[in-house]
Amino acid sequence: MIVYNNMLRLLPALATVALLSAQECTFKADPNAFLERQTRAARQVFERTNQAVSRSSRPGGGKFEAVPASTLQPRNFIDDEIFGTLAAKNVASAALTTDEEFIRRVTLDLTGKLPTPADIRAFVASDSATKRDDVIDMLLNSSAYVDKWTMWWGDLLENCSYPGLFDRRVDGRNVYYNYIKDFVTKNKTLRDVSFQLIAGNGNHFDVGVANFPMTARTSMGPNQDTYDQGMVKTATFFLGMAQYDCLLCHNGRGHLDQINVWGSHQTRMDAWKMAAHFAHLNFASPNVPASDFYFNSLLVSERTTGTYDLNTTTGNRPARQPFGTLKNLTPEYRVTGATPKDANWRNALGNVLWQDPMFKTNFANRFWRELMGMGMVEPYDMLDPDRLDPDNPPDDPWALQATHPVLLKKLAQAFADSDFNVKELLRLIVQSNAYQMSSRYDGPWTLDMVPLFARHYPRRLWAEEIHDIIVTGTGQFGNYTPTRLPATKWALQLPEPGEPGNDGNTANFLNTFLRGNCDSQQRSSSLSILQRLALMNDPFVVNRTKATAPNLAVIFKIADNGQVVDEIFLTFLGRKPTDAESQAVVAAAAKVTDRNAFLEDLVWACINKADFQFSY
Amino acid sequence: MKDRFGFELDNGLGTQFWRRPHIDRRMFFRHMASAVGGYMLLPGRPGETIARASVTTKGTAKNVIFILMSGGPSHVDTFDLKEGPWTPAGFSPATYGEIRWPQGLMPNLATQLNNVALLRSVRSWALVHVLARTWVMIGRNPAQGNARFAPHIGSVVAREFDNPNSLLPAFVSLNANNGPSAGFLPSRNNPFYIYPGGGGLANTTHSAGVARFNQRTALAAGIEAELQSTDVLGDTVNETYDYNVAARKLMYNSSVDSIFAFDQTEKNRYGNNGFGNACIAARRMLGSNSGVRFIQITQGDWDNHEKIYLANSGHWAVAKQFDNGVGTLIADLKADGLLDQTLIVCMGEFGRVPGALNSGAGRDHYAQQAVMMAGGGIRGGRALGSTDKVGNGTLDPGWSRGRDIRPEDVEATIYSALGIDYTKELADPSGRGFQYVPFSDLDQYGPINELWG
Repeated sequence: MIVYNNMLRLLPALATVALLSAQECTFKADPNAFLERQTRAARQVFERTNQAVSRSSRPGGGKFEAVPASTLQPRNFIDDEIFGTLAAKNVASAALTTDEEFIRRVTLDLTGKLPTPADIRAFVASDSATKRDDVIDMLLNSSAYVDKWTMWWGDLLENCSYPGLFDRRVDGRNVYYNYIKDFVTKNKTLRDVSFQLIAGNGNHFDVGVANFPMTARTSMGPNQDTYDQGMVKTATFFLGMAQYDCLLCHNGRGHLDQINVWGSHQTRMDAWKMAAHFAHLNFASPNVPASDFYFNSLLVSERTTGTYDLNTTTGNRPARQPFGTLKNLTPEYRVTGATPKDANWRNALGNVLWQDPMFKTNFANRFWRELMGMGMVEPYDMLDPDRLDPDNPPDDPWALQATHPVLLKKLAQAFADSDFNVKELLRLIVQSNAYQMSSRYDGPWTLDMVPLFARHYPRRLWAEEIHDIIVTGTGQFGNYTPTRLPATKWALQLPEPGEPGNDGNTANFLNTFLRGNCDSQQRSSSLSILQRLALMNDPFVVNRTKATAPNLAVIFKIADNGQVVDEIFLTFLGRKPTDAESQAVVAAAAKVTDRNAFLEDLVWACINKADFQFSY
Repeated sequence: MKDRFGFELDNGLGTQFWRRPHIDRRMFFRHMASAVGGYMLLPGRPGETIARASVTTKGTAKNVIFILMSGGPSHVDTFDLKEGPWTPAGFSPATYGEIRWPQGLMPNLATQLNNVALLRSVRSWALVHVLARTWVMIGRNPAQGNARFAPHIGSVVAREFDNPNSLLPAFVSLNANNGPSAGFLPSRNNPFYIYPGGGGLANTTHSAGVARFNQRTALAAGIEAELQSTDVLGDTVNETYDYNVAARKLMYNSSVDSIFAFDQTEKNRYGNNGFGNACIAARRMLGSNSGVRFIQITQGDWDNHEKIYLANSGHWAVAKQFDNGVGTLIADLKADGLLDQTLIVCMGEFGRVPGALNSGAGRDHYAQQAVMMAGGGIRGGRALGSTDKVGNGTLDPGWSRGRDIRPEDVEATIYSALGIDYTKELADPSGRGFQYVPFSDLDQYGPINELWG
């Protein structure tokens, strides 16, 4: 604070300017606090991996060699950029994954499941030159792919029955879930999906897409709060621009100057004109008795009249008051200035949104982040339009926002060129050697290497993935009955984190692994003591690590001791034991008399192994 | 002083929670310095302290028990009793010094009122359950962008006081299994969720037996040795090992059992229900030097839209449960010598509509509410602030700021009681800075020092 006081004395003339541009805000712009989130994300990843010092001096070290970037053949333009940068910086990359590492990682990342022991064996044994591409293709077209990415979209679109600001209810949740599952199954172009969601109309108990406008509903304020919320959700989900949440309260200047170049020269008026696209959004209660199924539903529609009026003094955001004679706003799209041709303003927004360069950039970055462990831009929902184009870099002291600006631009363009085909985007990423690098790294690992993606970054598994690995491996399934949806035995098929309502113990087990609530709490990759206790002692685990569990009964029948140990490792860890692990098992086995009991212990030990909880 | 919308800042009785003070000199310095000085290039790390105002804190408390009366208790039927034609005869209101109290409804607490201070000029910012509930737990507007990573008050307390070598983490949350968490703070500051039932701490025994557990962990250690020594996956793996050690420390541990194992006689003293059991566990955690400093107990069922006064249900049932648990807890903590160092805060997310009942014989959500505090060095036997005849709104704020008390002020009071500088600001993931109590550097919110007066 002393520093600032001194600074001010030097700058009295500028004082008035800042004072005028700064409005009250709960977001605190503090330059002294400023550190780019990109650097933070890199540091977090670094802290996850920084213990991997040269292992040549350690037992077991030296098995994996870092290799000079130039020796890995590029598989697509991703590799040109990643390995090109590594070569330019003279940083060696990690080695390629082994086949065993690769099939485990790619199966977990694309489907949330472990590959079966048979799949792993067949894959490793295959001498096909295209086997990696083939397995990617198989996974992208599996039903497990649909489950995992339906859940991913449910997280993104915040599909839950009872969010904090409004009631979607179970029946709204169900049709929304079904809509998401359908577009993931059919791999619909995000051009259509985004249009349908934004322009969605109908009864929200009947029509899946009517549930996106529902997300705009904001209690405790005037209609403009709901229009604003619609814009914030649209910009955050589809453009990666959560800064609209800031701009709908105040101008960027004086608030976003240190965070976002684009945002710093945006005004609240600019943001209002974007929010005005929602100003014809209408919610009506159906006129039915309280006993009727639709009593708690809402009819989402588009009015033919109305404007975004500057006439509020209460609610969730600062007062909206006329600017001179200007008091009723109509929509105007950012940058292009496009205005609706007719009264269906959400249609107009849906028609232009996917053409916004931020649309393709947002999804390229989000899916990259999901698969690579870190976004090229972090925070992934604060993309800065003025700091993304490598051909038009920002002025000093700003730098381009992405770790690999050219790559992000190319990846975004490839996504657009494929007509916003998500599967093709995922395929492009997982086919690259950049994705297929090992997470093991020989040699010193420093913070400044993190943005280079010189190794793969481990990802802690989702709660649902952990659940599904354990029930699949033991063959002992639950029966979950999400309200008015088909019963399922897979956690990855649950429509929201509130389920399974019929199995509280399993729900608690899943909650322990921090699956979020699709509303106020995001899915978290944090570790906790309770997670370790749950994997050690929770009945969900202990009651399944028994020789009587259906799949264990089959595995334990394998007569050969070496083979049965291999099978258990393959089933629960998705890989064979290393030599050292095999020796540890043999040494422990020498002391036991009850074979089944020992194998039960081994299953338990695998589930409690540190690497069990990761895609690495 | 008026803000730019013409509202009097000094008389903050409005209900618009977006209302914030004008930019002040300090805020202005920051903007200016950044614009010119290139301070964006300064190094910093999430969680690092980057600013604090110089404030004096009370520091009279060591621990906090935060009882979340989930659903929103009717203030006029509890801590701000308003008698009218609606009042059930069984409430048997009686006067204890400054406090008018429903003695028939809450007889145990009636005997503890000399330790209790009631805040009656409290007003919530919102009337939607999850939103308002989250608000009181994180002490700020959950609809803000930075609420995504805003920690629970208990996580902030844990950040200040957690000792990694202690038996339990500093922040324990009873009778809940999700909610606001550590946010951007380290995972160790997450709430440790427990449902105390008297049968020990869940998942701290192994159903296959301790011998079998030891056998299993030995095998696990054997197959882990290579990965652990070679470190190929980095800190993620090491973190797992640290948490394994912390988890195993809780297993088959007589200290843990002495906290979480209790018999029927003890349960009966506290009401023989989940809330009472949580109160027992809270008392024992604080009495055993377990490292716990902030305990939240979530108690449900205060949301009585219908038939609020129906015998043995609704308000009666939940208030009796509350009275039995908290009344006994205060008495026991006092007997243990722990009450003076333990601040107890009891509040819901909002109050309920005062006056006559609604058409369903219940009470709907209402912004005016009341808060009960005890212990932790505050002076009891008092009610601060007063409301009008039926409890619609504040007549006398009863504290120096001369306005309604807000969740942010309660948050500041908790930090001050613990000796935590509530103006402290940490580097956060947004780059904006996370202040313990929002706007406390502008003196917009602050502790209710009158509680100590």
